[in-house]
Amino acid sequence: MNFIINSITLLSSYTIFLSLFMTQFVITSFLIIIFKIPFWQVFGSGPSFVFTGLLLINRVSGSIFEIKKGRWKGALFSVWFILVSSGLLVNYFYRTDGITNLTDEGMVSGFVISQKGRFASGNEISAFIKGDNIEVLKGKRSFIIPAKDGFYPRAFFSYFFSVKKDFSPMFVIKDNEGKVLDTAFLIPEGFSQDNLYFRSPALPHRFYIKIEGRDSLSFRITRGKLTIKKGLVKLNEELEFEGLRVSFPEIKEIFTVRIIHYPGNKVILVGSLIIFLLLFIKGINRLVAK
Amino acid sequence: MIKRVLILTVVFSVLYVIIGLLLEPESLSHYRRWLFGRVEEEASLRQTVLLYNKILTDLYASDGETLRLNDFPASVILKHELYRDLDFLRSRGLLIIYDMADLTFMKLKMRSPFLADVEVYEEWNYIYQKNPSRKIASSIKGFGQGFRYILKRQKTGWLVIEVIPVDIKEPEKRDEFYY
Repeated sequence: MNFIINSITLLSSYTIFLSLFMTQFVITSFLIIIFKIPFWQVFGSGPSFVFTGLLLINRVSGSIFEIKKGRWKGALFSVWFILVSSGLLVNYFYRTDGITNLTDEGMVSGFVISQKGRFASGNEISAFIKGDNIEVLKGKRSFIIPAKDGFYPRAFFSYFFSVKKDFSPMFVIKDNEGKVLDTAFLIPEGFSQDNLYFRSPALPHRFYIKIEGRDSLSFRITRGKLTIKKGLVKLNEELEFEGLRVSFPEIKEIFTVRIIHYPGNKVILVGSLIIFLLLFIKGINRLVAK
Repeated sequence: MIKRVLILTVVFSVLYVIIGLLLEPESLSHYRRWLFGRVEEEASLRQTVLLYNKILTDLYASDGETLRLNDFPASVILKHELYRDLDFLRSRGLLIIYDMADLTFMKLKMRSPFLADVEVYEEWNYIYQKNPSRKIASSIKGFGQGFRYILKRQKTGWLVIEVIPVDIKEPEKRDEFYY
């Protein structure tokens, strides 16, 4: 019996906690810095989960021992650590990260998710420009953010909105009889303007575009290995290539809004605030007692 | 206590790697190649770009003959784009025959164990033929163009996921003879 109690005491000790934490921290940093692997991919790997689980077991049993012995500071730290780890796990399983594009007429693209936790709920996000602001609706929740470049945290840092103002050309592709084959706004892919191109499902061509001013664009039309045509084109000017025509009737202001939802951050932040408040009250009590 | 923590950290790190080997053996083989097999990986990247162009040439010349399609180290999106090009040419009663004159590797960058950029300068000749008679439909033309290949590591090897034309200065030819 004594052996079992001693083993549990050892496994819930701070020595084991620090060693597990150091291992997790060093290997995670190594994988992120040396192998350039995204944090969530490292966090979600098998060995990382095993170590997070061991850390949680260590602190849960540690906190029970500390409460029994009346070591409240240690117990509070353990509870705080459990909260942070749980928050990270919630973030891993329920996070969403995606982009939508808006013009003054509304959304010109759906909410394109780049990262999604295994249990994250749908992508019913809508957004529109309202005066100088952007209103984002997610389920019953509504967020107002300024319609200018910036990074805006909301709802206890559980939502982050990154706004980037850009310009988007509208393209029209016609056949040689003037029949419109395809027309749409060119959506900037991600936040990069390098090598921005669009394709039409009707054609094998790629149209590489770069906005050079309010009314002109540089372009390169390619097909397979060949560059069919390249140069500068003005708005509404028609370009002829391989019996087809392409033109850019207008360039619109477009807002690329990145919406990141980390629901676990609320747990981490609120939990941390309560713990620090308790420590603060305890500190004040001790001062008064002295 | 610090000494004990450091010793345990080393022990746990070994345990971490063992758990990784058991749970995710493929990822670990990627990391091993990245740390100790960089030369082989770079050679493999060059081979993939060469194979991509070789099979691309075959696919165009054979009007999309699917025999070599499974060996083509290209993403599904790139394969679809190629077949759209073949359909476009077929609808105009044409075929294109590419012939690579030269390919110079300019830059090779492995962004991570799973992603790499390869920049090359390619010189090509091409001719249009009538489809299906294969009668010559144009004169032989040639061009030189830089391309950036973006490759993704798969279980079996590298896969080209994007090819973007880039403006690169034509490389100097050192071993060329002129008569």
